[in-house]
Amino acid sequence: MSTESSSTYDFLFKVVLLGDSGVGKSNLLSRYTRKEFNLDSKSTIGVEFATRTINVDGRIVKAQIWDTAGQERYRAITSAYYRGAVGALLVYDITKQGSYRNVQRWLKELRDHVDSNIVISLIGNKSDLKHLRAVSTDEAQWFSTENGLSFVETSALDASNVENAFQNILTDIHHIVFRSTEPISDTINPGRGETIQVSQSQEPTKTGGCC
Amino acid sequence: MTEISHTGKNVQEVVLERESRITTFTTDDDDAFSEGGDDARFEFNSTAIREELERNFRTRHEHTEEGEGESSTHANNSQDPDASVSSLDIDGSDNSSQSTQGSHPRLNDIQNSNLEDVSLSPPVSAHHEASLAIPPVTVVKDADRASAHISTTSEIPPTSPTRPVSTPPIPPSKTPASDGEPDAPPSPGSRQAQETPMHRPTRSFGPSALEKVISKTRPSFLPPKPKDEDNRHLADWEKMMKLSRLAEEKRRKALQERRLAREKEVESSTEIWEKEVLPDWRHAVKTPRLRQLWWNGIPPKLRSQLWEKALGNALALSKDTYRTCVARAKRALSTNSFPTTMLNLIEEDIGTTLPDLRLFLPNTGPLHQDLKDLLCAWVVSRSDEGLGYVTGASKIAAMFLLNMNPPAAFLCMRNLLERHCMRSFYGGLSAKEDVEAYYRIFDTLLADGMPKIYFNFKQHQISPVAYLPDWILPVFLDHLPLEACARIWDVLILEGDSFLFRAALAMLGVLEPRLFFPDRTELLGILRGENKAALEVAKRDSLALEGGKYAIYGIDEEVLWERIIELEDWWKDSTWARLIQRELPDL
Repeated sequence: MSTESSSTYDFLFKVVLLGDSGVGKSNLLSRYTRKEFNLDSKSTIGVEFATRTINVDGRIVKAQIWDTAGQERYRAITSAYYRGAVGALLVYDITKQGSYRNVQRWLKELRDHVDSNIVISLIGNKSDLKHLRAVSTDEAQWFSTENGLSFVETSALDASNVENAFQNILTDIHHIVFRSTEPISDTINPGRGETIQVSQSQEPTKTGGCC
Repeated sequence: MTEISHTGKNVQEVVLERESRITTFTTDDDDAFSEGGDDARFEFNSTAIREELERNFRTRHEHTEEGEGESSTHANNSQDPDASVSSLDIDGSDNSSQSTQGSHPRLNDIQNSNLEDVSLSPPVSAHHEASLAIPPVTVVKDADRASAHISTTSEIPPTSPTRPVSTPPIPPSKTPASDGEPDAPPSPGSRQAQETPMHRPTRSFGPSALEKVISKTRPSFLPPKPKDEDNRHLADWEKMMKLSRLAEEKRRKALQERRLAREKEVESSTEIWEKEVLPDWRHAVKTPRLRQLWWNGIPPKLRSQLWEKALGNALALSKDTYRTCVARAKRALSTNSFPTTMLNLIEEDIGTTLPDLRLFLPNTGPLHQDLKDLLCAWVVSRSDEGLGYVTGASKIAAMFLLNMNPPAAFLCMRNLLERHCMRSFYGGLSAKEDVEAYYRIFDTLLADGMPKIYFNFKQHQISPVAYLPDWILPVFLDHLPLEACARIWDVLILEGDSFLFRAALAMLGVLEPRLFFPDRTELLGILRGENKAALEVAKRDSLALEGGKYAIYGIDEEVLWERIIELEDWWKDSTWARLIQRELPDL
């Protein structure tokens, strides 16, 4: 939302990363926005965010991705964290059953705080650790279908599917937004309302600074 | 010999004896003169003294052998001369007042009594602290005995607590008794050994003596301890430090657990909030149970709604006000008619607003622009009253922005800062008198609630102006962790201005142990959250220093709120009302 952003964009989407501590949210973010992976990264304190501008259906979309501490700390910023988010990546660790079980809880928290129109994607991270797998792909797939989420397994370490995961969610969001402005019959998320709130994050072409 | 001088001496003896006793007890397996290591202790003193001592030893022996001394006030405190040089010094001087045991029966007598004392406190020798605690009993005994002896054998002036050097005329002949005594009946052998001139040099010039001797656990002006005791005490100290760190860790864990439990409770109370408080909060808070619920903190999700409701809109600002003000501000900015100094002030204030969160940082912070817009709009909306920007406003705005969208935040901010106390602090020069009235109110409350701190502050000319505005302007956001702040805000918004003062008092209460320092600069440093010592400790304990300026003192939500709740018994709303009435009668 900074006026100094260097690129010109048509839309600005706020996407939040959710999930237990240590599932690799921060690494997903750094892999996607900076093409980096840090094996011994520390716990996130407060909030981290990064932006990346991509092209979706010929429009320039700026993704502002928020990453928060997975611990139950920093409750005072939860409102700020969720406010205006149009997409959420719900991350679990495929090697940790517990992190998968908690997805339910995160989903509840998310739905508590945001508009029901938000696009949610379930991400099974650390797919490179196949030999340690504790959550089956089928199970997660079933769960996401049940809850109307899209699902993909990623590895922030070897970068597999990371681009896809973000690209998909941003495309989905874009479709909804686009549809809400210029109604098209094509629906990506059936059953979802038409009134996704984008007033905050959607900003007409601006010019400026970084990212 | 006057009694006074006796007493004076006795007091000294008490101290000296206590010291020497400790040494004595702990060295009981060091047989006198048998160990070379002990010799080194003589290195502590200057050569002159050493020589003097030697001379004295010899003369003493001569005297003793002659059986010249009759009483020994000090025999029972006598000790291994190996134990310490200083005790030798002491003995030397003390002995000036006594001629020691010539007769063996008497000596035995004394030894027995001393050994009794020894047996009173055998475990004591292991612990310095304990031994210090116990002696008073024995010491008094000794002292009594000593004075009794002195009064019977009142031939000696018990005046000089000085070194043997100064008292050669009265050759003190104590050493023999002292050397044998601690462990066993006096051994003539050891006495001879001491006398042997050959022995001296080795005793006095042991290798790396200072190293061996120097005590890390006792001040240099006291007699040193033997090395092994010193080591033991060091080990004890390390153990204690370890335990204390463990205890600290445990305490922190307990706090953390309590915090999690409380947060869970708040979370689970969401339903009650939604059902019972949200529909009619005014009515709800009249119920003690629900008011208590509010004091425990509003669930983050409902915060914005309840803040908006409880703050109300006394200013009767329309929903469009924000839009209008932002538009005006933008126009002013684009035409460069927005005062640059004010803009700089705003940017500067934003820079120090919750920097750890990075949400508001220039260029990268996603909420930076919102915050700046909000502040500019606030300035514009107040410009009609002739008021400018006040540093601190950025924190208020940020707190609201964390919980609600900019237009709502604007309304809340305007209305919160319209409450009398806040309005005064944000009111610039025209509200100076009111602010001073609030200082007086705070001072009165402080004097009543924490008179000692008040007194110390008064003595060092620290008035509330030195710290209160720093707390009140940003409503503690600079000094406390965000979570603790959010809860303070919850209650502040419900209870009104008086809670600001309660929170501020609780803050002083938490800082209390640090506020007795008798130095103005130091005190101010502490209040500013810049205490070097605390910073070092925080670094050592690798505390996370993200919770505001007072994080270095370990102040977090639990600690502060514990104190706020404690104040509950003392706090009286009637007092507050009376003070307001007295200081601000127009209100």
